[in-house]
Amino acid sequence: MSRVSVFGGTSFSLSCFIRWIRHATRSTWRGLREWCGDAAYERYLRSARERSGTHDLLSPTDFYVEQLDRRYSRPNRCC
Amino acid sequence: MKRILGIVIWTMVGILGAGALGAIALVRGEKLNAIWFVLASVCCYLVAFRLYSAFIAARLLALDDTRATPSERRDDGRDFVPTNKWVLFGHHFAAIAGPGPLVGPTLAAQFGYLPGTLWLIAGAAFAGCVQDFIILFCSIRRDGKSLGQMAREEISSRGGFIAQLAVLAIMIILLGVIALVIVNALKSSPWATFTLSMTIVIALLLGVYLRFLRPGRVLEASFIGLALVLFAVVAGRWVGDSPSWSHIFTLSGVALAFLLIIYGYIASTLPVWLLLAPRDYLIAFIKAGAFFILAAGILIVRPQVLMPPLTRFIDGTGPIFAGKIFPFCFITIACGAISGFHSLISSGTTPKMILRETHARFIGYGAMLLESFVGVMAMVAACSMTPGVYFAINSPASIVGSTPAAAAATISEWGFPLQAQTMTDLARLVGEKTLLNRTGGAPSLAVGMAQIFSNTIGGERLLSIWYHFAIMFEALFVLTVLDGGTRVGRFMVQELGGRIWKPFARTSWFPGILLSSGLIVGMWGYFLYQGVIDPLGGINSLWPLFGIANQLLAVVALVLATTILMKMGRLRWLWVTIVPMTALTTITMTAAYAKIFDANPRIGFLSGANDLAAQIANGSIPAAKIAETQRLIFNLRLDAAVTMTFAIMIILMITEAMIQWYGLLGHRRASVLHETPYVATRWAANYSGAAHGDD
Repeated sequence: MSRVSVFGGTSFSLSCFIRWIRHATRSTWRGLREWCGDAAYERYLRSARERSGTHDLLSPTDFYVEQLDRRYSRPNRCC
Repeated sequence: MKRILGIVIWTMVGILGAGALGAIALVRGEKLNAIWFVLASVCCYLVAFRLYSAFIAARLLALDDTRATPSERRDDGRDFVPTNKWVLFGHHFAAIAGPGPLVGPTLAAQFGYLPGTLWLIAGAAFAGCVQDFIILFCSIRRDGKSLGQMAREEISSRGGFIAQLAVLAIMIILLGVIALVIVNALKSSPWATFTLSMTIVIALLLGVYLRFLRPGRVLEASFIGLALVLFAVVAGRWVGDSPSWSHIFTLSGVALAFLLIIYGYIASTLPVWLLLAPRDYLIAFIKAGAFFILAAGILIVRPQVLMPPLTRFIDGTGPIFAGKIFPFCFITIACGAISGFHSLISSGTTPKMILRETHARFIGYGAMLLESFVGVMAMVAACSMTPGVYFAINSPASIVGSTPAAAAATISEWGFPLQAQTMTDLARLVGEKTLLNRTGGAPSLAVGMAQIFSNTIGGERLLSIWYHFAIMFEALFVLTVLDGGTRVGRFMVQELGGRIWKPFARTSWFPGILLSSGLIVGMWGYFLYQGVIDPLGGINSLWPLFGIANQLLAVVALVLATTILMKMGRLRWLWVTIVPMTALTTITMTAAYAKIFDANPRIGFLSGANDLAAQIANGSIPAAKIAETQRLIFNLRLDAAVTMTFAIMIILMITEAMIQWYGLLGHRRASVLHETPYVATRWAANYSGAAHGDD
């Protein structure tokens, strides 16, 4: 793989750079999904399976409604 | 070598911040560039975070990463979820950032840019961030318990009850006041009213989409919603231009107030998934986007700050709200410097999701610094418009008159030159019939933001679109707090009512839901109505009341923090919470005293009521207006009673805590901390955090 020289001497591999970009994009996407709640069900499944196997898991719809009910029963937005 | 480099860099940041702050404070007679505000605030925040928050973390709290946090011990994938610190920072910031840091600094700009900016920076660094950080830490050590629960356990059951009442009281005042802000922004504006109505329809559609079509697919729904909202902003112009449609959406203040009250009632009784949650998803991205564009716009446009550092209104004769710079500047800024309401968030969801104790510094202290920066940006937006225009938009008709000519004459007399034509042209450019007497802060902030946005993208052609985007953004912000707050208030009323009659506490009991929703909506709705019919625009009396209520809660939080630190044996460092607590108590009590007893009828509620009563008695009020005036007298006396109640609550809370402190310091009382027992983290050894994205 070609090496790119910057600032008259420091060089880095292009493949490293592409890997870094890929990693950064993936992390950002994952963070965005976590932040907005898109990944909440996946997280719940992961956690529930670790704790109690595959029994009594909520469906995506039930989980969605249940977590919203809980979230909106306490102050969750400020002035 | 690394250490020396660090010292050099931080010294340079400190010098740069001090220089910029000096420029803001000392430059007279020439226009200041907004970049100085950005430099001063960012450098001060960096130094405060690097030094003061590190000191609190190490010396005061002794944050311990070997200790398992609630999210690790009780991980259930629902409430207790180990979360990456950047993601949690985003969550926490989205939860604490509301309309307060935007509206407060905009209103406080009537004193000039200097006092507000200094309080935003210093207040956040030494009070607001400290409160958020320490309460977050306390809640982490107590399994994510709420402020009220912690006050009950660590101070006394009476202290817990006062905290609970304080939360309910602030909620009612808060909802009434922010609803008033948005009524004043939408009044007689068909474009803005249409756009906001459409956001409710869009939220309902998204609710159905997320519940039945694609459960939980928040990201795609948010993008669909975002596109529809932007279309609604543009479509609002067509509605405003169409005579028949424009007629439908042109509403008076009273009509809008009743519509908001009905909305609040319905929203709090409907299932959460249908309206509240999807509307929250909509605002999340708009909020992030608007803050980013505003920050980028200030950096790109680098507007001149046209407001003087201090105006003549520091003497208390301000047209927007009456009262001297002390204490009213501090009360008005509210959430941008310190907000008691944040302590509810810091003891709510965040402590249940935090991955490591040391993250509390970045999330608790850091997120509040960012909120303060939002306040500084709002200050820049307000102060970069011509002062005459700023006062024309924010002053009530009873002070500056209701025609452009009258307003221009009055405001020019104050020393802020203004042409009547300027207001007419500006209203036309932003697509409004008028911008005069649009009290509440939201329209002037929208004008300031729109000017910065349009100078970045689109020029004057897009000014009207940007203005209505900003109004929609502010209104959505308010709706988020309004419906969510009404619902939480409903739960509190049910909980308190359940002490008298048990079935009332059942949150699934439908008659209970209807009755408690009616009660909470009725209470904030009354304050909203009172503000709408107030000839001084409502903000003059209600915004300080909101500020006092919010600071009251901050005093409660700081009293709790002090008690816990005392029990932890950190007597040497108690000044960290005692100094802001004393300052806030002084500010709040002085403001409360002035609002109740000041002899100036524009400041003191009682003298205002007496003045009106005297006018009725000497026959200077026309017979047709007597009933209305008597209602105003009742409202002013009610406001005095509410303020008095807040002051008594502060005194009771501090007295309750002082009894505790006396016992603790004299070793008459056992120092019992109600922390959850220490459990070592599974990740203590060689913890990388990679499994949870803590990278």
